[in-house]
Amino acid sequence: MPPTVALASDFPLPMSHRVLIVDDEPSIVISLEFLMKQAGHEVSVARNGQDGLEQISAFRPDLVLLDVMLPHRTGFEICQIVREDEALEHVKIVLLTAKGREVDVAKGLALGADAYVTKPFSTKELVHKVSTLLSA
Amino acid sequence: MKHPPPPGPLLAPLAAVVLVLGGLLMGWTLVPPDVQEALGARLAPYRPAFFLALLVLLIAAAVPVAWFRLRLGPGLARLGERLRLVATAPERDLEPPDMPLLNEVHAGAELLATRARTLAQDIAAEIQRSQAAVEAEKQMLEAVTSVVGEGVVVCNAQGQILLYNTRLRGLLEAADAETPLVGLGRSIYGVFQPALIHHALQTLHHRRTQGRPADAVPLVAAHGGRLLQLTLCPIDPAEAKAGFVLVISDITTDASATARRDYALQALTEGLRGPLGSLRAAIENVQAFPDMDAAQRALFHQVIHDEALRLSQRLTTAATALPSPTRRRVPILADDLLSAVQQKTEALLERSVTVPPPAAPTWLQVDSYALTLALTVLLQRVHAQGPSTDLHLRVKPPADPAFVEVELAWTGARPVHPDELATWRTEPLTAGDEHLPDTLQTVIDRHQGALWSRADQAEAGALCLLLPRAAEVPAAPPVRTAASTGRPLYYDAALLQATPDEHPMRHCALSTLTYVVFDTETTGLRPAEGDAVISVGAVRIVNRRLRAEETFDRLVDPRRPVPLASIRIHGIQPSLLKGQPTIGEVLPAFHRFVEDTVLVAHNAAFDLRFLHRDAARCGLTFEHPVLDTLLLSSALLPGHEDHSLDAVAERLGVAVTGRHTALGDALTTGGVFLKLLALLEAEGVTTLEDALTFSQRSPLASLSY
Repeated sequence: MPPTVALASDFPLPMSHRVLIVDDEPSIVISLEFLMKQAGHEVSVARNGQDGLEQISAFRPDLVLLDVMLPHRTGFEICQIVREDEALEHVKIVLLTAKGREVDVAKGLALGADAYVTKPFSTKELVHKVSTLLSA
Repeated sequence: MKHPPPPGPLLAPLAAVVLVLGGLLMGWTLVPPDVQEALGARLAPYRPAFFLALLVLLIAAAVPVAWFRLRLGPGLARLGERLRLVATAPERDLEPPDMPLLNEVHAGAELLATRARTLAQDIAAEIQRSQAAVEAEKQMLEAVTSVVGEGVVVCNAQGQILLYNTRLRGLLEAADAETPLVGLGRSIYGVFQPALIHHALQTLHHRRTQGRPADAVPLVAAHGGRLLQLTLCPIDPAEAKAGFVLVISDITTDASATARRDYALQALTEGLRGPLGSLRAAIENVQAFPDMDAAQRALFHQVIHDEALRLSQRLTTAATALPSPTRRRVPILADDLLSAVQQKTEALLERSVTVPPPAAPTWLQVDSYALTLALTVLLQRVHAQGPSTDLHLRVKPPADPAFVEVELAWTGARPVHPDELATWRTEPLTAGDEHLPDTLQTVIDRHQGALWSRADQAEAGALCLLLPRAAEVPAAPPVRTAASTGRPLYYDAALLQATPDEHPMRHCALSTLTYVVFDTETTGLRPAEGDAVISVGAVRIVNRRLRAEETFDRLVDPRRPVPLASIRIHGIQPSLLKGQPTIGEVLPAFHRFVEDTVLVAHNAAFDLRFLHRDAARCGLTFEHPVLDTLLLSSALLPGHEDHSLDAVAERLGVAVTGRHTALGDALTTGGVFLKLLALLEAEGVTTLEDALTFSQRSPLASLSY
């Protein structure tokens, strides 16, 4: 496997975007928050599905890093609700989950997610994917 | 063959006397009056003698009439009955005639009887030879089927069992079951839901009409807490009416092991992914940003420590839960699946469902029955939400080649809300009279599938079901069909021409029906006064043969004292009955044993009074047609007075075994019934309805008990 560790030089300061992290796992939130801030984004964190849905309206993120197995509402549901709302058409969704079955990936993409990242993931690739999606 | 001889010949002598007298009287009127007077005067002294002569003439004419009526007539009738008995049981000797006058007739009859006896012996020998040949074939077949690890059962188009192997019994009947579920002539629908078998037969039919090979359909069925894999093969792939073969294996262990393994694997992968993700991200961050402040670094170190600990705990738990891998796949064409759903839904909802022809054959790995039912239930639910203008069911071009997306789309009705779908997922599957205890979600999980709702517009929606695609198209059918290996062998091929089920039993030929001959022993003769059944015995008759291997023999605890008088008859000591099942437990089993048969008993009215009384208490009904050997015997052989079971058995040459045990009497009655059947047919009584009507001729038929 090629080295996938991100170096500081991999993170040229791009245009700042708003990124919402929706995950109930504190350990991963620490890293995600750190990474997105290092990439220069404005970050907000939601710890459950309902909170996540509310913050999507309130915080108006450009991109959501969305876990699937969340309390109250699953990431699949949130994804579907966002996709059905025309006002949120521009919001990019990255499903970031431990649900690694192929059928879950297929379902996530069918529900309109822009990317499906299975844990554990390479931080470098995640940052790259986020920046690609945001600059698209 | 009618009983009362025509009266004409008997009246002949009397008629002759009347004629002679009439002639004389007419002649007398022709004589001129003066001559009459002269003759009258001349004959006057002989008048008393004349009347005496007339009287003698009348008596002489009456004597043969009386003699024929009182002596020769009954003698002839007895001879006729004996002849019929000999015709039924040729091994019996013809009893000598009661009067020497009939000696010649008797001699002729004896000659005929001897011929009949020789003929019967020849036929018996021929039958024995054929039976030996059949037995040899049967043993060979048994040997072959017994080495097959699977259960094998051959059924006719009506689902009647023609052949099965011992492995099948082991699979379908619990070790402690006392009532056999499987037996020759019994219905396979007593074991599996008719809908399941019909589903497979319809799939075969669909393939046949498409010009595709219709050779085998795999199914999965739950039975007695076990999961069975069935493969249904038509006996003749081109002809649906030829019946089918079911090959059955138990996949409970496999399926539950697979389910456990799937669950453990999922828990392992999903459980490890989270901690690993956090761990990796933390480490990569520490490496990538060496200049981060101390507090941030300490935070990442803590994450690394905590997650490494969680990881090792998860690994230990998952490793112990992981069973060894096994997997069974059942491939089916998506087109077959959708067409089955379409037919089922259209019949159920009485509306059309559009299924566009598939672009290319798509194979799925599924339990087609459960999935058909699941999709039917979904269509039913969507339909119940509001009348949609059209319903489409199709296989979508897949984005991911590993999956197949089945789309159920509609317009003219609102989409399904995810919360609503969540409720549907948790409910057991029921469509019409078909039912599976599994919930929609269980079925989807078992298939490693995923289901979601899509809102296309306010008045249009879809349900999407993602299913795994079969790895490869199965090259050869899993089981060779019977037809491809030459003519199949049956234990009872006559059942193949069994009566179609659309005809009620009473119009069926007596020879094609399945009978259960039964008898009960009781504590006494008065059910109304609390007498109770203490034993039930029964045996099946299939294709005019007593099936000694298919009997029902139960003792019943009557929960009341057993009078000494009845113990003298049946010899069952009360201590034997203590702790036996009650009638409430035995009767349901008996009810299953007699399903779809005609009941036969000697003096059936007596047993039926007990049966009906107890059945009502258990919430059961016995609405079977009933034939009574007592009535049949007295209607067929009115010349005999004694129609007790012993007398009839002796008369018809039936060996009596275990008299006054319920099973013994049932077996004897069965033997008697088979002989009576032959006599009935000789009388032109061929259908059940005829036999029931014929019974009413018995002088005993009008008696009530």
